[in-house]
Parts: sequence; structure tokens; C-alpha cells
Amino acid sequence: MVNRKRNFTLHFYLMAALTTLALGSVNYLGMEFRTRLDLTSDKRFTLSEGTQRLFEKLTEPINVTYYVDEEPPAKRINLERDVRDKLGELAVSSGGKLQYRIERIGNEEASTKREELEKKGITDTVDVLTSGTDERSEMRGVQGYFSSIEVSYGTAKPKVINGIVNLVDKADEAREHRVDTLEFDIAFAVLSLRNDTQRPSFERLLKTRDKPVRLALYISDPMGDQYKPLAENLEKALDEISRQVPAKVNYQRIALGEDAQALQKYPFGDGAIRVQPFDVKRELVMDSDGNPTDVKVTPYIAAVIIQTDPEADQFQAIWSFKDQQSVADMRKVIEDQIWEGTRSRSRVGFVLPPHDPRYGQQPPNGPPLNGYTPLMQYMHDALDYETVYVDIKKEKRIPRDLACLLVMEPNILSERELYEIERYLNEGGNVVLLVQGWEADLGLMPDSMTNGQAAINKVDIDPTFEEWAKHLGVEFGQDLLLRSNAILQPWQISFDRNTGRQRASLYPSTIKFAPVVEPEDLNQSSVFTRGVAGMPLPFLIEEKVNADRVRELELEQTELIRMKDDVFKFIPEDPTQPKVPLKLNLKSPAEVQVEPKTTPGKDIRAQKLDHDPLIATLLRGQFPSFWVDEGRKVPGWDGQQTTETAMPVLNPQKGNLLVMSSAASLNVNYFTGYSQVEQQKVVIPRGINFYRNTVEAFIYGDDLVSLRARTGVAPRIVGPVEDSTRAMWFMFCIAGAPLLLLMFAGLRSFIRTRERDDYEISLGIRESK
Amino acid sequence: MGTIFRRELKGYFDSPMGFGIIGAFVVVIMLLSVLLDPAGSGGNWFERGELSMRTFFGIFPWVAAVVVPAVSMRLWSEDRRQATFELLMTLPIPTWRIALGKYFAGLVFLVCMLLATAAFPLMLMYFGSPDWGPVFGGYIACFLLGAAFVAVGLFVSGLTENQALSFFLAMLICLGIVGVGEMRGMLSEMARENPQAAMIHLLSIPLVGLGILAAVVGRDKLLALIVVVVGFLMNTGVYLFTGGQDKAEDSIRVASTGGEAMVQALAQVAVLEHFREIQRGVVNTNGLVFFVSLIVLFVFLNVWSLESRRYS
Repeated sequence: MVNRKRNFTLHFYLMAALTTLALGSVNYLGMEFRTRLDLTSDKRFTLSEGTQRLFEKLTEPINVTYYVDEEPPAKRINLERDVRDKLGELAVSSGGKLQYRIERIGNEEASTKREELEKKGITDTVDVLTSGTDERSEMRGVQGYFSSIEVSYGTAKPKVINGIVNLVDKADEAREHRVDTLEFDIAFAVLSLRNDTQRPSFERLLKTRDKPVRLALYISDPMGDQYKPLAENLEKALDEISRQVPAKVNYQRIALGEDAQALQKYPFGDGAIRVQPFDVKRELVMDSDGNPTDVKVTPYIAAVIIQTDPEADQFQAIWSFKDQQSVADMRKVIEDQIWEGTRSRSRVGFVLPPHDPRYGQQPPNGPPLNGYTPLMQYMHDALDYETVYVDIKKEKRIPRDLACLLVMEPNILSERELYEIERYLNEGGNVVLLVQGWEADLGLMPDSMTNGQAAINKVDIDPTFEEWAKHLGVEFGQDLLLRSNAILQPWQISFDRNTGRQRASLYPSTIKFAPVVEPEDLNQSSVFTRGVAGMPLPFLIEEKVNADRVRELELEQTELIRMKDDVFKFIPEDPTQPKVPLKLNLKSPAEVQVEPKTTPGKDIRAQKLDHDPLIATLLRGQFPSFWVDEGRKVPGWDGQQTTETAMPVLNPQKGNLLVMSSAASLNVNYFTGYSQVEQQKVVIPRGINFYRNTVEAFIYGDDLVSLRARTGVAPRIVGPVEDSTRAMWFMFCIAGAPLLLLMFAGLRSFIRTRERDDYEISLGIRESK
Repeated sequence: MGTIFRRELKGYFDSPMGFGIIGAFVVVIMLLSVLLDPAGSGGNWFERGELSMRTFFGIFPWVAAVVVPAVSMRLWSEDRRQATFELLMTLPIPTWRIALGKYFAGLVFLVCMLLATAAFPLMLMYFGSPDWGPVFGGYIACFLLGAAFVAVGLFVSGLTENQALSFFLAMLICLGIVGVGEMRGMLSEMARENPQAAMIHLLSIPLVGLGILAAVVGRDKLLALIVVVVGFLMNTGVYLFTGGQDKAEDSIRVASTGGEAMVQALAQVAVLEHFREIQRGVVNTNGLVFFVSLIVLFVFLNVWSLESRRYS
């Protein structure tokens, strides 16, 4: 007899197994052949081609740790969620190459954790708390919280990205690291970590060096008993290092006696370095009667001094070795330090205007000192570039190994210097031209302040330079551009009647000729303009790009900064001696012509532009030669034309030319009116960001330029919402649909009642018949 | 199938219950997502000022886990109560067609529920220019999750004639599905720290499911009890011995070790993971296939649980 129940049960289990298998397989196939559709308007959940290319090239996983405060400020309540979303998306899109973890830091552990995090380079993210609206806000205080990312890749030291915020208000758009820039931030960190990871082995590093590395071990001899293992390990580590390539390591052991003063007898470079002890032992010295007479100080020293370039008077010292460090640990510390001292740095060239006597005497072989000196210094010290002053006239050629050449105020370059710059550009060089259209002496003397007006001067642009730029499709405007958000304040120099001394005081007004770059002015997808919002651009003029010419030359043009809205041109009262009223109010109808097309009246000092002026642009490609194209002779160094025809470009390559029409963005002369804090926190970092972005983009080339600098985020409600509007929409959301349904149900019930009534009436009629 | 579909759909709107469910759903979800701040995300919708429906989609799984079972509880139970079940089962049409007819009716009702929330997108339009991609994606995600919940409700409804019990059981399963997604962070961490423990956790969940299934289909109560108890003990034991780790939340990793493979498997079975991805505006084949599989699985279980009655 057939047992139907058993058959069914067997059939069921078989079907269940088959269904599970089928569903599992389909899911597996869905996972393997994953296709995705990003519905967001700005494709914010899709990696840019640059990032994708970078991730494809990686051979090791990227580890990302997000350190976030458990209790962020109220307005940052969604910060963790937003960062998590973005990291999650990166993790998925990277095909598993990026892994992330989120570490929340609670209030209780914050103080203990802070020290540990600071060692990693993680610092507080700071929000300025304000009240009022975006346009008119008052500062109430500051609030710090953790929101940093640590990116690890390969063996290189992890990179930290501090100050990550989400976009809550307009001010956040000017922050450098945001949720919508995270893709770029992480990709760029990986890009530089990858380069660091590719460092050669230590042995190879030594072999490739021309000059030997000088290593000196300063060690207490005898060493205290408890530190003997430390000393032995350190000596073994140095022995091992020096034995690798003996010809390239000059190792010297210097034994220090017990006398603390003996330190002074062993100077490394004419006493320039004083070695620090890692511990000091103090003992009382007793006389024969057992009374203390003195304190004997025994320093314990185990320091390694490294001189990577015997000709340079520079040293590095490691003096804080620890007991528990093994030979291998110590060796790694020393090798890392040698690597740091010998690795090649990107060379950035500077072409500077002449020496400014206010900065003191011109050093005999150094660069001219002027308002740009701090920029050069900062790029060397803080950004770790090798900065090179390029005196084209003296060297007769621009070094071809420069990553980038910054030309400050090219207006006055001789024709031959320009010719050399062009040759460098034609051979694949990267040039940044910072053109100055106007200038002012802001150390204002009372006689230059007639009627509260600051004297400004038009800076002549050399006709050859203008013609050369025009040849490449770039032209410069004549007008000085003003904007109501300008922030420059001048000093007024006056004489104190009582003392007869000069006195400087801050003039209580803002001169409108240093427009500040707003986030909407910037090409947000460009790496060149990241973190630049807030940069003041003194003495701004307009630049125009001839699109037809650029197309004809087959150059690639990218607009970087274009001022949007609220831009005026200055109309001098006396064109020969132009003066800007310090209290020029760009909203006052008496002084300002807001109608761009109308001819300005006699008293009008500023007129609104009828278009958005371009301020910075990038041209990329194979540049034509101004001299070869025009069949000109090579200009001589003495200013005369030579008989020589233009030299052909030997190694033609694609170059980059960035033209910015305000050189003074980092000329500190123009920012002396600022408080130190504002100079340090606003003016310099923003300007530095621009130069750093530019140099980095040129160093990394397409790898960096092709990365998407930012993605969009959810748009926000514009302007305040009235309570009545709020209530109306809330009621509509809550009650709209139910009311509609109620009406529908009522209508339906009414129709049915009518139908029933009709039916009953018809029945009644029938019955009555 | 069309007749069954029309009959069921009419059943929803013939009584005030259908309207009541939609009304209650709209009031609750709008109240939570527009006026209140259930996730502590910094004020109500107007105060946050973000032109998006993230809060709405964020709480939808939880609200749907309660409301959708109320929609689907009557699909089979009502027939059982009115004694039309036997009539249906003796009709000369396959059971799967009847089940699909009922399922599609539930699905259309779900669409009506979602359409009733159209005031929210209208409000977005009024206040600015929202990005419609994530809104559209969010509605797709809600539809898919709701459709899976309707399938769960259909299955549970076929097991009992008591509508209240059907509602309660379906709600528990739906809440469980949402809850497992929320627990993924902890399980992922465990998979990395202790892949074996995570494996036991992961296996014990279908084990318990299998036990329940055995009870329903095979009517083998003892076997079901043993399987459920073993699954429960495995879970508790692993948790006690390994401890819950919830310090960090991790991403999907390369499947290089057992733990990593486990994490990937967990991501694959976590319903909320797929829901959230589509809700952000990223529709992928992976998520679509997953939701369709879930629906097919529960409709299949419903058909076979009904079939088994013929032989019990």
C-alpha cells in the first residue's frame, strides 16, 4: 500500500532542499555578477574613475578607523551616520579592499584616550558656536569633539585626517574635510601612503647614496647596571646597520665619562648639538665625617646622532631609547630616521620679485627677502617641500627636476626669462603664474590718507608678457575688483604730538579690495580648490580665456575660481592718482552704481559687473612656442634681440599652466592689519591650501587630478520656515491621506446605500404592482 | 487567480478595516518621521532641514513589521473562520494559484499604503529641489521589504484560523527579521574574533526555523522541540562563552579567512543591509534578488504548508 503521507513528506523535504539550493544559487550569482544603479543625481555613491583606478592598482588592503565622539555637538548628531554611510559605500565599491571600523569615544574615557590619540596625530575637531542667521551671526564659543580618520596602507606610517564634519550649515562648506570629500581624502591618503610604501630596502637606500651617512653613538661608559641591556642592544643595532654597506656608513662610538660636563667636550658640530640624557642619577657626596657636601650627578646617555649629508650642517638626534626595545626595534627606529633624512622631497621653484629693503639686508646667496618670503618658508617647513629660489637671470635655465614653478608677479620679467619659462613649460613643466594688477602701500602715512582714502597704484603688465599670455588664450582685465565681503584693514601711521614718535593704529574700516573666495566661487570638483574657501585675494583683476584660441591650440581648460555675484569694479575719481575710499560702502547708492549697463556718474566709485569674473584657470596640454610660432629671434639676456633663431623644444611634453590674477594672496605685507590669530587660522592656511593643492596635483599628475574632490549631499531647506507653514504641512502629512480615505469610504458607503435604496424601491414598486 | 485577487482586494475595502489600517499607518509613520525625533537625530524634520525622507525610510521597517501583518493576517484565516477554506482547497485549481492571488491582493494593498504617504514627497517639493533618486530608491526598498512581510504574513496566516494569533506570529517574525539586521554589527565583530562561534550562531537560526517548519509540516512535535532547544542552547552557550562584542562596527571584508567569509555571508542575509542600500538610492541586483528570494521562499512555504493539510 502506498503511504501517501510519507511520500508527501519526502516530496516536501526534497522540494525544500531544491528550493533552498535554487534560491542560494540565485543569490550567489546575484552577488558574483553584481550590477548596481546609483539613482542619486550626483552619483554620490559611485566612486569616481580616478578612485576606482587607484583601488584597482592596490595590492594590499586599506584599513580605515573612524574616531568619533559618542556625544558630538547637537548639530552634528548625524555626523557618525553620514560618515558610516560613506565608508560603507567605499567598502563595498572597493571590492573589499577597504575595511573600516568605527571607534566611539565616550566622555568617561576621553581624557585617558586623548593622550593615546594625540600620539597618533588625532586632534579635536572644533566647531564655532554661533547664534543668529548665516548672514548675521554672533560667536558664542567653541566646542571640540573627536571626528578623525586614520588611514593605513602597507608599511607606511598611517595618515590621519582630522576635522571631518557633515554639511549642516553654509559655514561647513568652507571646511576642508567633509563627508562629501571623504572619498578624495581617503584616496589621496592612500595615494601618498602607496608612494611611502614603495620605499627601497635600507641596504638599497645606502648603496644608491653618493655620500656616506655619518652615525655617532654617544654612550655613557660605564653605563648604569640597570641600563646595560639597553646599551648592548643599541650597540648591536648600530653594528648591524654599519655592517650592511660599510662604505656608505661612517660609524663612530663616542664614550662619555661620568662627568656631566664631559658632554660639552663631544660636540658633534661645533657644539651645535647637546645630547640629552635619558636618565640622571643623583648621589650625595659625603665627607670623611659622613656629612653631605655635594650632589653628584651622573647622566645616562645613549643617543644616536645622524648626519645624512656631511656637507650640510644639519643633524638628527635620537636619544630616547627604551629598556624594552629589542635590537630589531632600535634598528628600525634608526633606519626610519635615516630614511626620513635621505628620502627625496619634491622640489618647488620660486621666481620672486626684487628684494624689499623693509626686510633688512639682502643675503648674499639667498633669495630676495620680500612679502613672499614667509610663503616660501612655510612651504619648506610645514609642507615638507624642498623650496628652491630660481634666479633665471643668474642660472640661465630653469632646473628641469622642479615639480612646480611658482612665478610671483611675472609682470616685470624680462623677455629672456619669459622665454626660459616657456621652454620649461614646453618640456612638460608645471607653472603657476600669479599676476599682480594693482598694489598699495598699506603702511599708510597721514599725507597719503587725504579724505580717508588709500592710495593705490596700477601695476604695469609688461607688453611682451601680455602678448605671450594672449598667444596662449589668456587676457587680463584692467579693473580692480571689489566685493563687499572683503576683509583687508590698513594700518594708519600717525605722529604722537607729545612724544614726537610714529604711532601705528589699525584704521577702523575695511578696504574693499581683498575679496574673499566663497564656496560657490570654487570649482568644487577640482583638487586645486579644496579648502580654499575663505582665501582673501588682494588687488584682484579679471582674466579672460579666449575659448576659440584654447580650442585651436588643443589645450584643455579648467576654470578654478569664478567670482559669483556681488562683484564690483573700482572707478577711480582721478585715474592718474587712484585712491580707494576706506569707508567705501558697496551698498550705498551714493557711491555705487548697481546697474552694470549705465554709465557711472561723477561721484560713483564702484560699479557692479554684468558678469561673473574668472580669477583662476588651468590650461593643460602641449603649449605652442610664442617665439617659434611668430618666427622671432631669441631674446638676449641684456634685453636685446640676438641673431639666434628660437631654439626648438627638445623633449616636447604636456605641461600645466595655472594662471591666478592676484599674486598678493600670500604677500604678508597686505595682511599686517590682521590679528596674529586670523593670520594663522584664516589667511595663511587658505592661501597655503591653494599652493599645496596645486603643487600636489602637479606632483601626482593625473593620479590625483582624476580623483573626484567632492560629491554632493542631500539638499537642504532654504531659508527659515514659518511656524504656520510648518503646521500646515504637518497637518497635511498626518491628516491628508486619512481624510481622503475617510471621504472615499464615506462616498463609497453613500453610493452603496443609494444602490440599496434604489434596489429596495424597485423591489417595493414590483411588489406593489 | 484573478477572481481570488479581486475577491481579496474587495475584502480589504469592503470593511472599514482596510481604511483604518492605512489611516493608522500614515498617522503613525508621519508623526514619527515629521514631528518626532525617534532616532535622536537632532530635532524634527523641519529643524534638521534636510530635504530627504531618511527618517521616514529609517523607521519604515519597524512600523511595517507591525502594520503589514495586520494586513496579511486575514488572507487565509478569514477563509478558515468563514469555512470557505475547504471550498477553496477543493476547487480544481492548484493551491499556488490561490496563494498567489491572495498574495497579489496583499501587495496591492501595500502599494495603497505607500501611496497614502505621498504628502511627504509633496512637502519636499514645496520646500526646495530634493534629490529624487534616494526618494525613489527609498520607496522601492519599502515596497520590497513590505512585499517580503506580506509573504511572511501569508505563510503564517495559512497556519492558523485565529487572526489575532496569525497577526502576532507574523509580527514576531517580521520584527525578528528587522532585529537580525540590527544585530549584524555585533555578529560581524564576533565573526572576526571567533568565526566558529559566529558560524554556530548563523547555523542555529535556520535550525530553529527548521524545527518550527517540522512542527508545521511534519506534525512531529518532539523533533521540532528537540531542534528548537538545541538551536537555543547553541546560541546561548556561544554567547555566554564568547561574550557580546559591540565596541566597533565593521565593514564587509575580503573573504580571506573563515571569519571574513562569515562576515560577508552575514551581510548577505541581513535584510536591513539590503533595505538600507536601496533606500539610499543604490539599487543593485544583489538586493533585488535577495528580496525576491525571500518572497519566493515564504510563498513556497505557504503553498506546501497548505498542501500538507490535504495529507494530514
